[in-house]
Amino acid sequence: MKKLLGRLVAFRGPVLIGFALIVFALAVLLPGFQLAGRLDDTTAALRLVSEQRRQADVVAAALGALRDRLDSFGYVDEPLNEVRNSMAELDALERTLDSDAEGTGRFAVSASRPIRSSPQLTEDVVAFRTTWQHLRLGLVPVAAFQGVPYSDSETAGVHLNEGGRLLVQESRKAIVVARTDGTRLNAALGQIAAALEAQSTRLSSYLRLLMLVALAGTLAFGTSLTYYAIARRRHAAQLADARRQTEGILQTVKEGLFLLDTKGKIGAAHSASMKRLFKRDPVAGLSLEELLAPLVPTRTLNTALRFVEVLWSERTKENLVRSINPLQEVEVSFETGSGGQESRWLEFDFHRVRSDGKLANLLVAVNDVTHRVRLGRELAELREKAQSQVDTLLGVLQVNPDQLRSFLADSDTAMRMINAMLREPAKEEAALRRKIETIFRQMHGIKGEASALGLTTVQGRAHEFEEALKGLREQASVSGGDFLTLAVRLDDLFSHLESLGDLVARFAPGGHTATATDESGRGAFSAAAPRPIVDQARAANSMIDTLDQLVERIAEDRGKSARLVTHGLDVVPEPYRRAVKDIAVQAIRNCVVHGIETPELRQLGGKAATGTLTIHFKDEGAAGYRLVIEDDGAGLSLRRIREAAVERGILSADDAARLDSKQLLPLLFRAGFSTQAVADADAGRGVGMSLVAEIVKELNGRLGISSGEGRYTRLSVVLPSLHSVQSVQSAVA
Amino acid sequence: MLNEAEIRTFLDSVVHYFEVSARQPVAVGVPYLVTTGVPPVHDYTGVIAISGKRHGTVCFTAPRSMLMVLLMRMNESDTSEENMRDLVGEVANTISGNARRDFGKDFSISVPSIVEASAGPLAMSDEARPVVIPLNWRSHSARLIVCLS
Repeated sequence: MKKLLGRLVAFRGPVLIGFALIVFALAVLLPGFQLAGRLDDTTAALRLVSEQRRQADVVAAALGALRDRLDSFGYVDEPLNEVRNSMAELDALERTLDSDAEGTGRFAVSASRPIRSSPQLTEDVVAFRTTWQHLRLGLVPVAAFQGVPYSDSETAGVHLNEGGRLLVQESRKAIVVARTDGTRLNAALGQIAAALEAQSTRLSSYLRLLMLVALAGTLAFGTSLTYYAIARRRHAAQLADARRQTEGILQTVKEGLFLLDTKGKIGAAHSASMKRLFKRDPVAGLSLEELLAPLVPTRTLNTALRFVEVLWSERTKENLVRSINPLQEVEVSFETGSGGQESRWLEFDFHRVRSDGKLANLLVAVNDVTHRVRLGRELAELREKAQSQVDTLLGVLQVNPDQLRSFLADSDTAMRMINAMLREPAKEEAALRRKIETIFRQMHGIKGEASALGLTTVQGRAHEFEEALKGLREQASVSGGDFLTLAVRLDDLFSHLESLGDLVARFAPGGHTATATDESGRGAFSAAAPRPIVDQARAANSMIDTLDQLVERIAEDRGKSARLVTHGLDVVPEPYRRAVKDIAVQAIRNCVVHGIETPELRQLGGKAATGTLTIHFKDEGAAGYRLVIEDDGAGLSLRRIREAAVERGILSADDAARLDSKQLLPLLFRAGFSTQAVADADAGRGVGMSLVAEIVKELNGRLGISSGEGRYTRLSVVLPSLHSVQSVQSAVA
Repeated sequence: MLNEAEIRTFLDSVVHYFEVSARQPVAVGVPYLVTTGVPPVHDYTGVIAISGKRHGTVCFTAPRSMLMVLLMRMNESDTSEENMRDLVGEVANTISGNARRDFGKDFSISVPSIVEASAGPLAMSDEARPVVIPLNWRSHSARLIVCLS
């Protein structure tokens, strides 16, 4: 019922017009129908009366003819029958006009109806009836005559018989009555006819008037309907235009727009972007839960559904509720096939839609804010990265760009070697431990050079890597899974050096260190890109600068004073440059940490307060190259070496005491051997000299160490001539 | 950047799966990084995609021969390709389930999908270096590949 009423309200215009039309029809057509009926009745009565108005004259004429026939012994049946017929007609007229019957139905014509409806006519009919009854009494004896009024005899001939004489007598009386009553009867019928005619005229006038009203009404309705049709058409055109505009908006707008009805279902009208945003079509008829369930975690979904529930509650304030919208920035995931997953961030905004003051729908606007979120995250990451790079940057700005490039390239190679070592299959414990030692030496090289350049962030990471290695080394048993920590730290170091490479590219003078990209698309260190021409002298200077800084920094850290003197580093051939630098770095750390004394001790020993480190490189032709690194420090303490060997369980006390210097000194090149009890960033792990031995071994060189107690320590390295450099290159690369 | 604890969660899931389902532990090899190109995969690879706090993929890849033995070990006589795919998916599903349990709401973890080697190299994020963890079981080798940024 409510629905019906609702529809009626919706179609108010047509309903009103239809209703008015019915009322108009009833108001006009029913009276018209009645008037037409009355007019019919009046016309019928008038016709009847008019037809019977001659009967009085007919009777008079018939009576006259009867008298004449009787006088001439003529045939009397004809006039008698005329009298009888007129009587019958007038009797019928009387009955008709007097009749109370309504006829056989509403639609039947009744001549008496107009008489009854008019008092004047009723009176006229009474007058007619009275006159006729009076006349009728005079006519009845005449009309009752039967037979022949003549007799014929031979004696008397044709003569009136008894009946004939009586008929003559009665006809003469009837003629007298008919003369007076006929006139009256005519007058009465004339009055009735006039009254009926007047009534007919009046009814016709009413009917015409009614027709005029009907015509006016019809015109009015026609005009109204035409106006309504035009207005409706215009409205329909406006609606169609509005619909076109809405569809245009929904097709074009980038936002996902849809309405949720009271049952929580998505309406049929929604923006085309919904398909793109949710990778789903159609979405009409789905609930919000069905739309979001495949895209967001259950927890987010439940929160969102609860939030929408709250929005439907009239008691809550919309602005307040919207401020706690859990879908302001929600991550949704779509399968991309081949195992991939695409993430997007969507922003949902909800608005209440009211109809007649009641909450009818929720308008939901969905925006793809992936770009914004990613930018925000990138910005945050950049900020974080920038923050962590500040310290690095300060260090980088102090470092010679050539040195830094060289360091980054060398470190990249070293780390790739470490990764290659990790990758090399190894199942046995011994193989795994060898892996640890080899990696240790490589990382120590990186750390040493980072230390020389003052790159504390790199040095710190390398130090942590070494700590992890040390942890592995000290484990009772190691397995492949234990190396996971190394892979993770190596990844961190790769990333850190990449960012360092970026810094060099941005801040190095000349900016000619364009960032290189490796095969995978990941940025490799910009400094790793080989420069087309590397000036040998410049490379030597870079190396000397690095070593100088290293000497200065370690000496300062240890409260010592030292200087570096170099000879011949400008003739170090390119294939040996890295090795010479690595050996020198490790040797200098040992010399400064263990060899050079504090200024006070030196002065007590009659030496200059500042210790001297000398690096001498010489090309000896076919004999190869000789590298000598010497300090004027305290020299090697055989006692301390023996103690360390015993402490580390390498030698028993007896063996240690028995061995001479030639047998003891090689211990210095043994992995893990150090005379320093506690390791720090520069020494103490027994890796430095082990690394030197490893490098020399890889290059097929020879290594020697000599010392004069209280005077010097000298490290001698002989590298083969470059005829056999091929193997060296492959080892380093 | 790789996070050791997260990788261990994935690794422990696989190790546990082998211990329970295959009743024979898997030997974890030395993990290494993939610094160039994409990590090599075996015949079948179960891939789960991760989004949220971290983005990337975790894959379990195994050769047909290993999966066949594994199925037999699990008293499964049907060693059809379909079953092998299901098995790889099951391992990946285990990883996915444990990750959901351990990482909570910060991570969005997809339902595993199975990729065959014939489909070409795996799509990996170019913002991170994948770490490959060799898994040796009997005479066979599988890999767990984690690539998260």
